[in-house]
Amino acid sequence: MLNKYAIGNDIIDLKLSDKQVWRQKRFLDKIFTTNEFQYFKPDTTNDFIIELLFSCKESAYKYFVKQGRERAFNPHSFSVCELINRENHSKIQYSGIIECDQGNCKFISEVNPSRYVHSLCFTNDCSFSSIFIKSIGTVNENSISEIAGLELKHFISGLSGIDESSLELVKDQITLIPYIAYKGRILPFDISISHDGEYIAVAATKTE
Amino acid sequence: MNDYPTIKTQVLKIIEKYAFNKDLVKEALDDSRIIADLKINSARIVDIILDIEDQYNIEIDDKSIEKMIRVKDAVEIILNKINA
Repeated sequence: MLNKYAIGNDIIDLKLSDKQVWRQKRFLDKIFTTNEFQYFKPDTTNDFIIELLFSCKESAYKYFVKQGRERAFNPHSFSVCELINRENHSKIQYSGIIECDQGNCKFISEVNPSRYVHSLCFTNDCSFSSIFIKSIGTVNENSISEIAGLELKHFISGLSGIDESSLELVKDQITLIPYIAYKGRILPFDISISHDGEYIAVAATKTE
Repeated sequence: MNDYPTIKTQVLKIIEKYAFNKDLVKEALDDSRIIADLKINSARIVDIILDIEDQYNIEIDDKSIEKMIRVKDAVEIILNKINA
């Protein structure tokens, strides 16, 4: 049975995606299903649709790991089967459905042109997630985990009202699923952390 | 030479090229998980697979990609394919 509170998020720094490589047919063939090729042309001049689809699939991968899927890489296991453009005057947003052999999940994606694309996957029952995206600039890669942990605690502190210095980030050593604990007790939040380039994205949803 | 230690050295060199944290790759063991321990993200995994295909003139199919969890898995998949 699916965990109805599970979420998975993913951010891609658009400055880091190598447009020449990411538009090569060989590269695209490794990632996208036949169905997904309908959403773009390989020689697309659209600056973000390929990254957006990739971000959707990566967030679905994190989502399904939380549903018990083995942490193995196979982008063809996840397919965007519905993609709806929700562009309005102020934001470029997409929503849709991703299917895999374990079931379906919904997603929402937001594009900040020339900066990042971000996607969040969730179950049909879970629509109240909080998302926090921050530019951390250029930092030493060795300190990314520490910075992400601090940002996550700050974020959860705002949602829970608990002082961030009392919160602890713990990760399951096998699945790498993160949790936030307070005084040795796991707090009722499903959380997802993503980092790429200069951006960190944190998403959380209450599980009770 | 297409023996295990040689392929392993070559594979780690490819992984290091795309790793954000190169120190982790320098300390990698046979059992190190490519995504979880070496902190390689999915986009870079595709780059690594394409480089492996080019270097050994092989094709890494979906099933092989899914099995490529640890450094030793990658080396064994390459050895199996070049010796097939």
